[in-house]
Amino acid sequence: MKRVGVIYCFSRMFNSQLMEKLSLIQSSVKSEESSVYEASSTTLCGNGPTSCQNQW
Amino acid sequence: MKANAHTAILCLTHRCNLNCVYCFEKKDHTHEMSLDVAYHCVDDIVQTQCLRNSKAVNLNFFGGEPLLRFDLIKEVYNYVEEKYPRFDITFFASTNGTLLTEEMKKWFSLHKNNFCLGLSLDGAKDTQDHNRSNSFDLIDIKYFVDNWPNQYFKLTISDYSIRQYASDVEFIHSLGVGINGGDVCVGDYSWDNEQLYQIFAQQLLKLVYFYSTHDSFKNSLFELDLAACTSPRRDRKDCGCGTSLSYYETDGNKYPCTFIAPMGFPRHDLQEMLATDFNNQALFTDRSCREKCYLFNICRTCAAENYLLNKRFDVYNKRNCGLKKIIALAVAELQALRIAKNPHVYSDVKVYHTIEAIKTIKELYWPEFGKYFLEETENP
Repeated sequence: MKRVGVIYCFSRMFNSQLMEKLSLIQSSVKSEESSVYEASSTTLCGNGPTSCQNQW
Repeated sequence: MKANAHTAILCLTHRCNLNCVYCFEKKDHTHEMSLDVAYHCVDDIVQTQCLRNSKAVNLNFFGGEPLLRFDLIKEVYNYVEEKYPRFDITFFASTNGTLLTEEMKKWFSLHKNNFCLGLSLDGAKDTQDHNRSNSFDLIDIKYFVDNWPNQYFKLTISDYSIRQYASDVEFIHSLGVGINGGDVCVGDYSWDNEQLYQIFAQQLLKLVYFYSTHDSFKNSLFELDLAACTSPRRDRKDCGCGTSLSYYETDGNKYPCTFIAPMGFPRHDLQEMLATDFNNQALFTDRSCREKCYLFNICRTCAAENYLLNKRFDVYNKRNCGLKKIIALAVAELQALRIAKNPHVYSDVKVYHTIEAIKTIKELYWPEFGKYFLEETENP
């Protein structure tokens, strides 16, 4: 009879292959290192944030 | 809804035919907006926003359930069309969708180019019926999809439906619509316990892999601009309450938002809140968060909720910080997968800073919160 148990394994999230690929991509745009990122709008101002129960 | 337009909300009634599990409103039968009050509110909106500020306006009908006052909706619409035809005013009503008659459907379809009906739908039948008073079978979902295919459905998560959030989201996407799916942490229960962290993280993980292969589906919960975490942290007010948002109660009195109003606060609190300068972002900025938290620039926080908990706008509700970090981890993984698949998904500057943010979020939050994403597998 096959013994069945439950184990926990590490998630696939942020695996090393993915992070290495990101580093390569980031290196290819390294000229942007000194730039300051300006978000167009980080929130839905006026239409409310996600935590707002009443806005869309 | 138009970006940068002023949102003006008219509360037509406090009545509602449903009793949703997370609803904060005190329903009663004594608060109804009259036609004269509605006209007065519209005049005020045009005067203060269209004329003085040259703003486009989203006129939003609210309740209770606004379709209980379909009569008033039609009157206000006709009043605006006749009296203010040259102003840029569009209309919106959020509805539970259960009261639409054939007459209403015809009218809304006729005006759908500048009148949008937004449906609140929490997911598939089991979730919808649990959260929203057995209402699933009463809604003609296809009518909404056919008439406003680009309008997101509003999905609110309860402590019951959090367990099936992923399948509810996939159900709504299967209808062909996007989701405003971030109404988590509402209702009268604690959202800061490890059991919910585990449940929610597992649901988010399912969605990360769903969205990584379904790029076209939109869910506002996942639309965080992570690159903004790398920007300098300045004072900020996260929502438009009292500035780009105004709310008119049934008696015609104006408030900063639907929550900072008599339905949400006792009179003495409200008086103190209304004395605040809503344009002053510093008064809505939690200094300790600004100094210490990497997620500060993208933190979605409700000013009214902060006041409710702390009697101040500048002290954030920190009970949701754990969940927000879990959400940030999920969004970071999704954006990592998207960039890896297509490095040109964003501009070069955004790609650089998004990757920087992904790395930092992983470094800061994975050691503490990664365990909630661990997947359960069977060992043969």
